[in-house]
Amino acid sequence: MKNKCEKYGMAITNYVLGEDLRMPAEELFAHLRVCQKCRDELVDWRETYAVMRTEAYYKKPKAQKKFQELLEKIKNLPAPTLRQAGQPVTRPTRTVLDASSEINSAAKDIYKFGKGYTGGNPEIKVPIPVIRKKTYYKGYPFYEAMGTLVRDKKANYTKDKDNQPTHASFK
Amino acid sequence: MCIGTGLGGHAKGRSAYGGELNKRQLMPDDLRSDEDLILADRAGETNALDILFRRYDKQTHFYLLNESLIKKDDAFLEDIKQEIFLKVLTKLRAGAFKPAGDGSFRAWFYTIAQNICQNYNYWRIRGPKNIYGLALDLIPAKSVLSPQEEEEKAAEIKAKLSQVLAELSPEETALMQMLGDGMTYKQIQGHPEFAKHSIDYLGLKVYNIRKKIRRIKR
Repeated sequence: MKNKCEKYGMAITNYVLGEDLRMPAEELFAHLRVCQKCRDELVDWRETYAVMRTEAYYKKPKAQKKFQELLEKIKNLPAPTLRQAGQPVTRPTRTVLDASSEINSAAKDIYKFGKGYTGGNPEIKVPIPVIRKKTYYKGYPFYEAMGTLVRDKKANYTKDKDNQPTHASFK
Repeated sequence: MCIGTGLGGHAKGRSAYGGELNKRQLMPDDLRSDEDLILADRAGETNALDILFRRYDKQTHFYLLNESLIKKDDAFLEDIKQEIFLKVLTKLRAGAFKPAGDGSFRAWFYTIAQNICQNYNYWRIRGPKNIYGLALDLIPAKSVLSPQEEEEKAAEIKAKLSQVLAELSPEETALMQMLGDGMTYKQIQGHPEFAKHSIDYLGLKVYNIRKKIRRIKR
C-alpha cells in the first residue's frame, strides 16, 4: 500500500502546482477516491503551497497599493438601492414558460452542465445533487428534463435501490 | 478557513500582518469587532468599511489560492478578490447582513467568497481539457474556524515551514521561493541556476521537499 501511494505522491505535488501530472488524471482521482491518506496529503500540500504563495505575494510592496486601489474602485461604483433592515425582500419572479418549453430549457441546461463537467467523457458520472445544485431547474422540470435527455439518447442515469436517480453521464 | 495565513484573531485587535502594519492594527479603531464596524458604517463613518475590508484582504487571497483552481495567475486572483469585496459591499449597503441577528460577519463573508470561488471553479475555467473539475467533489469544504483556532494553527504551520526552510540547501530554497512567486517548472527552467535541469528533475526535487515538510509536520 505504501508503494502504491508513493506512485501518486509526485502526481499530487504536480496537481497542486498546476503542472503536468505524468499520469492520466482519472487514475489519480480514482486513487484519491479510495485513499484517505493521499487525500489528506493533497489538502496538506495545497495549504502549504497557498501559505507560500500568500506570503510571497504580500512581501511585494505593490500588494498593499493594489488593495488600496481596489477599495477606491469598488467604493466609487454606483451605490445599490438601500433597503431598510427588517423590510421584506422582494425577489424578481421568474417567467414561467409553458410545460414543454420549460422542460426543453431545463434539458438544455442540464446537458450543457453535464457535458462541461465530464469534459465530454461519457464514462464520468456526475452526481445528481451536483447537477441539481448547479442548474437553475431544481424543481418539477428536473426529472422530466432528464427523461427527455434519456429519450433523446443524450444521457444515461443510474438509479439506487429506492429507484431514485443518483448519477448521470452524458454522451 | 484561512489556515496558515497568520491573520487570525484580528477581530480582537490581534494580528499577524507583521511589521509596520501591526502598529496600525492595534489602533483603537481596529479593536472593534467586524459587526461593530458595520454598525459604524451604517451610522455614517466613512472609514469603517476600509478597516473591515483590510482585515480580510490577505485572508481572502489565501482562501482563493487554497480553494480555487487558479494557482499561478495573480491578476486573475485579484479580479476574483475584487468581485468578492464588491459583492460584500453591495450586500452590506443593501442591508442584507444584520449584525445583531445573522450570526458572525466572518461566516457570512466566507459564504459569499465560497460561492464566488465555486462559481469560477465550475463555470469559468472548466473546460474539456481542464482536469481539475473532476476532483472538486473529492475534497470537502472546510468549516470556518474561530479566529483563535486560526491563529494557533497558522503559528504552528509557519513555525514548521521555517524549520523546513532552515534545513533546505540553497538550491532548494531558491526553488521554493520561485514556486512561491507562482512560477511554473518551465519558467524556473529559464532561470540560469536551473537551466541544466529537466522538468522531471524539478518535479522530483519539489516532491522531495514536500516529503521533508510532511516529515517535519508530523
